[in-house]
Amino acid sequence: MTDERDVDLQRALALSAVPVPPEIDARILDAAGRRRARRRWPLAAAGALMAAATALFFAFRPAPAQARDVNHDGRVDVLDAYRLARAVEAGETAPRWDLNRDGRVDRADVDGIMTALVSLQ
Amino acid sequence: MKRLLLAFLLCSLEAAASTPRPADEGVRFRTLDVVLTSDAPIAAWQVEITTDGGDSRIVGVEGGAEPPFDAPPRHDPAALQSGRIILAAFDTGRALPAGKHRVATLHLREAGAAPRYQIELVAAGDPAGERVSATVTVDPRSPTP
Amino acid sequence: MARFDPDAAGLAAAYREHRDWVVALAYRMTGDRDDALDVLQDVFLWLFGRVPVELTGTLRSFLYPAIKHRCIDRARRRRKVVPLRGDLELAWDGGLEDGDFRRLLARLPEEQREVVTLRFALDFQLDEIAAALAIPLGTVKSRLHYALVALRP
Repeated sequence: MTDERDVDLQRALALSAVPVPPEIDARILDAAGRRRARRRWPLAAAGALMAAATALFFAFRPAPAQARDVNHDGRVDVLDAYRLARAVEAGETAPRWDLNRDGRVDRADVDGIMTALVSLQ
Repeated sequence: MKRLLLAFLLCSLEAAASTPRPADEGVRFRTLDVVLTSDAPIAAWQVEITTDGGDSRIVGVEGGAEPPFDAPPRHDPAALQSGRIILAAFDTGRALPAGKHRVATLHLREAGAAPRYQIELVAAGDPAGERVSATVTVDPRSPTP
Repeated sequence: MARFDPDAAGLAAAYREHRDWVVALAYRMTGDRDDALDVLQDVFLWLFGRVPVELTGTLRSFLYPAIKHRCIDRARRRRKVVPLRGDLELAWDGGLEDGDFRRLLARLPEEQREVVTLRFALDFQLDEIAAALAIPLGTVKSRLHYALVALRP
């Protein structure tokens, strides 16, 4: 049975509805359709692209640890994440810091360093 | 750049009583405060804590006493329920002033013989991102049954 | 573990199912409707880019950290979050009308405000909260306990 006080708290904490403009709905739903459409490439084309990408990956990609050594002190620690975070905030980034390969250098790359730092594996 | 001082503290948590505890003693909970001391402002820090002997598991991580490190530091959730954890945090907008500060608190579940806790300061940096010398200690609080 | 890998219709359905609580939570966290709408778009575009994903909990608990981190980013950029106590990142009071309750809530540590909001505003189960925050169930219970002691005098 629900505690009456729980009901009071539910009322007090109830979230306010935020109307979402139709253009935002449309933009997001369009992205959903495009995301899945991209994944329906013909198998052969996808395979060829993957082979080429893999070759480039091994030819040019720096070792993960080297890429994360943002301050070039020979080790990867929180100071690298800090240095990258400051660079992101200042808008002074370099393509080699796109550590998660999403085409941008942003906080996601900083988060990637932090995740690696504290990982027990 | 000053070489980072490695602070290696063996914290023996022997009971106050002189009689040895039986190996199958009941479960108890302990809190460890992680305390950073430096002569420079701290904007980023990283420590590793391991347990040695006994049966001790980390069951919770809390932030420190004051901003900007009052939120729980970054850690691997897999560390929970294990005896080893790496904590790291930074803030690009604010820094702890020089001095002694509690930057995190660990909650531990212990059973059996009292474990020992080892802490290593991996890195500490000032607002410019430069490595600074600092020491880290763990200050245990009394266990609660 | 459950694999979340829907087709386009499934992604659209997921958006419709989760849209309202995501944007409402973002508004509660940031106190700003424009920020909440930005977070809504960012979160779902991020989700669409991540699938397929392996869910250890519910989709809600998977989305929660993404929502929170984006709200924190917005708060830092705007730098207009009113410090409720100390210099915390998130308002956690967007849309709260009752001034007395706002003040009561503001006195709680942020981690307790977070847990009590997830539990009572969003009806997250305790294990969902644990998964969303990547903390043990015991810690969830402890934070909730202390929050309720303070909120239910």
